[in-house]
Amino acid sequence: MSNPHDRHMTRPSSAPPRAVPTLPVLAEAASDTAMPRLPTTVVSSWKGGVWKTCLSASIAERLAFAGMDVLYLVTDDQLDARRRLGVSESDPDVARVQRGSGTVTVVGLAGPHAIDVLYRSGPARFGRFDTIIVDTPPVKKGGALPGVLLLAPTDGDDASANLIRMLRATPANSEIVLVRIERVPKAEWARDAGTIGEASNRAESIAYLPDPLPRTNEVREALGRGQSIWTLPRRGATLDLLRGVESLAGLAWSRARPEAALPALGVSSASSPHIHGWDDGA
Amino acid sequence: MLDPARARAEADAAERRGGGTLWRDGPVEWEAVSVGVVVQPEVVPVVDGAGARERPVIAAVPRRAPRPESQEVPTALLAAILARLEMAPAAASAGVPGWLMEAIGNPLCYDAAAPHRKDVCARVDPALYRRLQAMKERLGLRTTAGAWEYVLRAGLAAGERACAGA
Repeated sequence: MSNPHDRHMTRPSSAPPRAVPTLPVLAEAASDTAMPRLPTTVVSSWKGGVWKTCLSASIAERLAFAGMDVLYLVTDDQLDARRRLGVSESDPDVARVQRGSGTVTVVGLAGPHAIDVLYRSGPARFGRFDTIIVDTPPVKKGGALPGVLLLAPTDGDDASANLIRMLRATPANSEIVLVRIERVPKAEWARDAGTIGEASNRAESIAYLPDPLPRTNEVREALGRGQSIWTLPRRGATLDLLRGVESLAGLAWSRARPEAALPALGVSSASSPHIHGWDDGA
Repeated sequence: MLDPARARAEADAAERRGGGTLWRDGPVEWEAVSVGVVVQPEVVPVVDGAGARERPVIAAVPRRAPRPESQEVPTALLAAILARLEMAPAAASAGVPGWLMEAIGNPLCYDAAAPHRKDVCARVDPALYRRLQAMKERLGLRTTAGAWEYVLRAGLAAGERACAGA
């Protein structure tokens, strides 16, 4: 561990060369350069109740609607993610659901097994996938996965200190996007995002979703009964939430398919366009 | 309304799952794990014209104005310089070398608030900073920046002279 005051110190030019890095330093470097076997998006915050599972499940579904086969890794043993996808407790441990022309395969795994799937043996034992979405419990290490897109939701001041501590531990090769849950003025959120970025020492590499995402009763109730939020009427605050999740899904999409934009909802990248009013029986 | 039978069944199933190979420590018995396709009614998303226009929108986090550079000033050296300079303005007659007085110049000529100055945040011992402020008062300087320049001119001249002689 380096001396925190080192950055304030001016090193004399005649200083002797630095000692060969010790093993722990090398280990940190390796962790900072590791990449998952497939493009991976992690939703994590060191706080509960910030709609991590809502975001991760909805992003996984959105990518499937666009034609992707998504592996949805859940490392939270509450396994609410299964219910969000309409998967019951009696369904198999590794459950695959169809969404449009794509699929979401949800599997709950203890942390070490998830690391094995992400970075070592890969996900092939569960099938072939385009991308991986990871839902984490509210723990600090949720933000410590290298080489991923880290979506970090927060719902206010009381969560920010823990969020900052989590982001300080996020490897440099992971991209971070801050997401504000609960409506606040955009200017206030912009200011807070800047503060979090600077306090995390990651201002250069952190982005944020400018529009706070509202929590609506309509969405909350849909989640409770395992109904996809993408089937909700697109209106009011629900539409605002859907648009925000759409943006986040677009980021997850671009990690796997940087050459093309996320197809519009109802359009699969692998099939003919979905025609509203005809394809959905409306 | 909670369905008691369903609630109990779900809790039992969750406990069984939590004790399964995917959640236990140690190697996973992968042969016991298979992928099951869940048959559900088709999930049809609601689409509208806005969907086609929605594209990823994120922004870089806003940043405050660049913070001044922060540097630890070697306080021992600074203390020594201050000790010498606190003798000013009678310094010339108090044994301060001419080359040092020349390097310092007349602080009253450069103590104005000057926009060309670079903001620097110096982390120094509080007692030392109080001495700097006291010296500013004694010399009648208009700004703390002027006092810093006074000290830095002296320190740099001494340092450069020391380096040249090394």
